[in-house]
Amino acid sequence: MPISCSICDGKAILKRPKTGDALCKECFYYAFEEEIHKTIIDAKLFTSGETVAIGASGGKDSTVLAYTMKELNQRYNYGLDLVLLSVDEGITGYRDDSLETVKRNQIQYDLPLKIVSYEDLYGWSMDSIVKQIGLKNNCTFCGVFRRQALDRGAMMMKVDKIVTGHNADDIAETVIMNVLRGDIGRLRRCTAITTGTDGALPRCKPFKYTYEKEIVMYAYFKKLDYFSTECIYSPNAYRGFARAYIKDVEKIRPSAIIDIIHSGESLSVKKDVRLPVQGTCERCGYMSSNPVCKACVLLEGLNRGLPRLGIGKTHKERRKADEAEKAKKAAENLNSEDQKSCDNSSDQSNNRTCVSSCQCSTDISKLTLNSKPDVSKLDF
Amino acid sequence: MSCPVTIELSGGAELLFDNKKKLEVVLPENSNPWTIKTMLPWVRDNLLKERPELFMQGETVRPGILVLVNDADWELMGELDYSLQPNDRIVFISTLHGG
Amino acid sequence: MCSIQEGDIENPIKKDKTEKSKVCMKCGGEAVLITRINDPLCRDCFMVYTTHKFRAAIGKSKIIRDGETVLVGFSGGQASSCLLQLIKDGLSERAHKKLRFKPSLLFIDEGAAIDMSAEERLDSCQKILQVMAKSGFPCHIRSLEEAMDSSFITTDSSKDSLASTELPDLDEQSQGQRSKNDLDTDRPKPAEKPKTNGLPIDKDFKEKCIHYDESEIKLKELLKSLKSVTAKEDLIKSLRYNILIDTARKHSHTKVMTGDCSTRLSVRLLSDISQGKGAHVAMETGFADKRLDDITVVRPIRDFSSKEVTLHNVLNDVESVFIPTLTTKAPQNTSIEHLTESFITGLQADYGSTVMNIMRTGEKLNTEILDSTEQQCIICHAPLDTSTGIASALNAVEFSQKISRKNDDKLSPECCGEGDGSCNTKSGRLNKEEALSTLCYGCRLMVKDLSDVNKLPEYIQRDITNRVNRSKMKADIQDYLLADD
Repeated sequence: MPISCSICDGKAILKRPKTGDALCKECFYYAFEEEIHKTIIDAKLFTSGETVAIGASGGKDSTVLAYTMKELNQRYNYGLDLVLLSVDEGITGYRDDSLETVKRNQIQYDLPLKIVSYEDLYGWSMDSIVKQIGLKNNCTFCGVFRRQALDRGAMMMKVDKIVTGHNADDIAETVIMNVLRGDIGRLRRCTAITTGTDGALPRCKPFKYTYEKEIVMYAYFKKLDYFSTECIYSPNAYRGFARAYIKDVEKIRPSAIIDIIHSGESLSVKKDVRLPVQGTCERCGYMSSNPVCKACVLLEGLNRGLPRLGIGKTHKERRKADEAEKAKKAAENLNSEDQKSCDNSSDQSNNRTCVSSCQCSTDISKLTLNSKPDVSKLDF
Repeated sequence: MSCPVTIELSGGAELLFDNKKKLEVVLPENSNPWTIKTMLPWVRDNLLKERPELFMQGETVRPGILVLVNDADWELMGELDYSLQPNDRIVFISTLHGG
Repeated sequence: MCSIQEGDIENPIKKDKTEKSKVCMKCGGEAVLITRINDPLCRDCFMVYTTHKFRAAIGKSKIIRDGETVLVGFSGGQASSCLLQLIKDGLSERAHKKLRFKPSLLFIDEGAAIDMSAEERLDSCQKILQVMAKSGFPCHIRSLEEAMDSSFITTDSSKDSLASTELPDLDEQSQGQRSKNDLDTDRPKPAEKPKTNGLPIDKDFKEKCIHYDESEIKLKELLKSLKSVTAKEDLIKSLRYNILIDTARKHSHTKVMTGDCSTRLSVRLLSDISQGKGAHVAMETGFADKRLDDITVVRPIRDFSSKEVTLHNVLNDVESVFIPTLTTKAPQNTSIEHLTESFITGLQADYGSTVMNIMRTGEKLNTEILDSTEQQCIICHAPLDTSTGIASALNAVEFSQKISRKNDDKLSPECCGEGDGSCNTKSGRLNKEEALSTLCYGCRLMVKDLSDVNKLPEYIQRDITNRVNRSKMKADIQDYLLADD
């Protein structure tokens, strides 16, 4: 006897991984979409009249996101202007193919599309980065660059918000990963449904409570056109551990994905724990918890032929680079000193003057400012 | 060369060895000198009574099982590469909850 | 689709498997072990290191006062045996700065939960008693099923006046019961059994162990009606905790010590997070657990890894007794905790900082202490984490459940759950929805797994009923109350 739908008694076609209930196709669509609508309303994600960019990669999550956002916007009169925004990392045989999917989506859903490429933004495509640094660590560049690329594309399109296809599994995985790394700052932030509210372009995740399995099922039954090939470059092994773990836990108790998100939402950080302060990058103005943001550091490394700058033990690499710089400068200084042959070394009162304690009185603060690499060359 | 060794099991690891906590064995004639790496599969095939996956993982012991060679941490002895000497005492202690 | 995010770059560093130095980093002697990630130590320096770590943990906290009596939970396992040895050494006259508290030991026999035979249980109790008695400290043995006794009561009576007034005869009753069940060896018992540091393994003791009483059957039924091993483990943990607390209260101890090591606690932390108990990890894994007003649980060896614990025992010839648990010899996917343990030990083998990182996470977290017991979970006594607002995982789950089912519930909420629901009776039985309303998110998951809430231990049912009645009464009189201002 076929199992009947627990809502309408029709013929059930799936068992919801989230609740264990058997549902027919139509009731599943209904429940799936209503839940996303409820998430959007409860968290007050949008205001009528806003332009919202959907981060579209051509993969299942963003394809289903584009489809449901369009559907719900019409059904419930959100009053949003929706646009598709894609990042072209420049990975031959992977991104070029998936971008074809996005271009088809543009026609299918009748939404404007903007593609921003790493090549245009940074002067480097992922293929050329991999050529320089090899397969190890290339994901670091990709992950860091993608975040900024989306923002920059969104600013070009003059949107108010970005929505991304991060689903419940992604968020649970990030919670676990941040616990494993002891990264309290990110652990606290990673379950927020909207991020970047202070200054930066807000980003939100309407799929925060949506199971990956249901997204796949939805795309399958709706026959949505999406691209499902994995990236040709090596994935991040450490994140893979967290992913394998949550998949195993989910097998034992299917509610675990949501349970982990509940845990993440109810963690409270001790008051005396210092959390990184979000400031802005002094080079590109993008938000960063360091004086110079990660993207700028990585880019500097690439452009100076020191690709390991900013990877792994950041301080060590930076020190090395700085020491090299200092040595160079010292050599130059020495030369000029010889020429000037300054002799007065008694001026200790102003410690902002030239370190070589000559009388040239160069203001050090100016010196460091001038020695900064020319930002305008970085193609921002 | 054959090699007599004492193998001890505790912390629950003994349950996989028919509850035996101490085994005096002679590793049989071998063309190469015995190492822990070559001993582990021999122990698994000849002494272990059940659930080999709870004792070994890949070519080494399952994480969570501590190995001591003559009362010293095997990490100091080169772990798998340690060459067994006659009458060595190898201790396997499970540190896992419930063995 | 690639899910790499910006934060992914700061990943832990993989352990290098190169040859380790064999020289003790402290004294230059011959090292016998590697501790932390890559620190070789000789036996003597390792002992100094562990002793210091233990005493520093107790000293720094300033929680344990001189002369205070402390109940030490002893399971026989490596970690609690290590703790017992450290306490013995710390109290001995030889100790450099003698510790000044008075320990007594409690072993909780959980044999009923894993279907051990009476003989096996007797055997393990005897072994444990031998080890405990050697310490010379007062010892108690209790069994897990005692929590199922109708007379079992852990409620802190000074605080919860309503509960105690409703149950007037209980104290007396429990005293009577107790003399049968509790195997206290410190209280002077009838003349022929003087206060003993020896072994009270006499006929009575055997009788008690072999005797299958009602409570044991109740416990087995309760465990059987829980579908998942995850929930069973959770329940056992909770009963064990309550017996520990109950024993401490009966003997007027205000401190309880447990032998949780960092490896074990990091497993608990991650598995708590996976079971929706994120709000509780700080109290579940910190040095001091102050969720109760009257008793603090302390974990003096929480900075010891399981390797340090085990090597401490090996190098000191410390005896331990192995007693199987629910997941002994079970495959890794048996329960969330069991899976988490193999996940963490596996990761730790490759990334030596894993356990430390997890513990570091825990140390930065906080548990909101709420002032009213009304806001505590009836089962685990942790503050309730269920007032989460609209935009929350809890609300999303409830919505999912509602929307994937028919609106018209066949059974009325007042129904006893038996028959077709037309009887509309409540018959003094607890209904699940009511029970859930008094529990935290994590304990709700456990109780949802239970086929019948009326199988829960009576003390829990009693507390739930009291809480529910009280809030009903509050709602009833609400309209007649004058506002404060």
